[in-house]
Amino acid sequence: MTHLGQRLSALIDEELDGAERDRALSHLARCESCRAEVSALRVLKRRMNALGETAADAELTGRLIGLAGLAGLGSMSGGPEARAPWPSASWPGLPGSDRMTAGSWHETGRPGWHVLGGSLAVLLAGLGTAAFLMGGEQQAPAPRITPAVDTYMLQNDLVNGVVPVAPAPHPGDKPAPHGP
Amino acid sequence: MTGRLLSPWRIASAAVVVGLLAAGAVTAGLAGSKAAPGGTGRAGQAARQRRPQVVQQGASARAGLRLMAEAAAACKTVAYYGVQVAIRWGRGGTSASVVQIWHRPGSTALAQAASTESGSPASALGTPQDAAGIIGLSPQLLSLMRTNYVISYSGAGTADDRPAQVVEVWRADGSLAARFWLDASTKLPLRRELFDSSARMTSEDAFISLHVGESRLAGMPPASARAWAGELRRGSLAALRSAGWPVPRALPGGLSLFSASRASTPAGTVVDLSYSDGLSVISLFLQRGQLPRSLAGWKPEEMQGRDVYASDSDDQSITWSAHGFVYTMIADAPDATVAAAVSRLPHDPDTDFWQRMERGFRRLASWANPFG
Repeated sequence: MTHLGQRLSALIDEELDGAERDRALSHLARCESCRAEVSALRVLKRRMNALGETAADAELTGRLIGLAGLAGLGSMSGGPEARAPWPSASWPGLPGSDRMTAGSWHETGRPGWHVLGGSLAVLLAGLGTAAFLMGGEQQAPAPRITPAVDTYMLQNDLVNGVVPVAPAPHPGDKPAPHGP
Repeated sequence: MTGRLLSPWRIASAAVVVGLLAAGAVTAGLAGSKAAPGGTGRAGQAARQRRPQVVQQGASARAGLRLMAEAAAACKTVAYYGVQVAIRWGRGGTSASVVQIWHRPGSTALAQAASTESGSPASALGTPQDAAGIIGLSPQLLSLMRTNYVISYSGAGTADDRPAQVVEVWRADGSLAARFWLDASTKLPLRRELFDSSARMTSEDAFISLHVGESRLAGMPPASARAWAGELRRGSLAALRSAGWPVPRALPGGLSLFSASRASTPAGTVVDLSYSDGLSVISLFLQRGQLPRSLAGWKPEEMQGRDVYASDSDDQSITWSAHGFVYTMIADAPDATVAAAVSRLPHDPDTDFWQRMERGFRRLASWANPFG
């Protein structure tokens, strides 16, 4: 049985027309694995939608920034109490490197940029992977066909006015097609 | 039965001829010669020449047409048994085969490829089922030839030690496309050379033995098959197109659809579309479906930027799948003609990494859109 494959996402997006949708639903009725995949994709879509709504929540954003210690970053850029939020060792020769002492990250106990950068990296990697998977060519499910080239060559010869002598039959030869 | 009709000495002679011709062709290719392979003397010189743009339409053209019409009739009415050598120069190298042919008046010629031995490493011999390269002419092909080429009588010659009349076929641009040697008495085609537009010989087919009359037909073996009975006429082809089948009316190079048929197979309906310009013939087989992920007996190949599979045993057989159809092409045509036809037919678009990512991000963005 040929599964729906990439057409699942089109089904969830309601992009299939009547006949294609009927065929897909008919397949889903029979195929447990495709049903499971549809459920998983619907959950993913719901979460993506929820993500879009959450992104607009300024209060939550503020709380997250506060947790990540970005308030300190803001003061570093403009105030005299600036302190690097990342763990660092001394950087000889660099202005202000005397203040970037080892262990400052442990002192604060807040991951700061590491958490934010890691989260962003994971998010980007996840989005990239999802985009790559979702961006595949969507092909209609079709049977796998191996061309019966011996039969085709025979027909080609016949059309060109030549009948080959019947070769000795070999086990496993494909049967010649018969006209309707 | 074969042994009675084709003596071992004859097969050995044919094998030697094939081996020598193939070795000569390889030598010519290694030398980087632009000359037509195998074209010697008058034939080779003529192939390198360009006929004036304005091809003479006088007595030679009328004589050429008359002779070719007689040849097409002779292919139907003359009884004969013979042995033909067929040599091809293609992108896959040189291939050669020896074929026995029996013909009774009013029936289709019967062909059997003879197994031969050759010391030439370039000699790829035809399979027993492969009867390609038979010199055949029909009124239908002649009509297409007249549409696409200029036919002209060239003069007297010899082929297979028989007196012959030579007819040349010219393209509109003044380049030689083919040369036929017609038997002076029966008008049967004895030899045929095909050239591409660069004056390079692409194939050479010739009788190395011919017995006219019914005397050698007593042991004629039975035919193996009949052509598909489901002939498709104009209305049926229109119905197929309406149902989404890609049925081109013509292919590049002046190849017109001249025959169409359909057959039912266990794997579904197969449509056979045959195209020709009078010299080259391309059969296109269509079937709903897609190719399997691995295809035994075929090798991946790129043809004018298109990904296709070429048969391991015959570089004139090509297959690919696109838009829910499997396309299989069996060609008796120069490489350039085949490549142009392949590129004209539908193919799935090539999607590079960034195009795929862009499409994926668009889809994800549509999902994340609360108003979507």
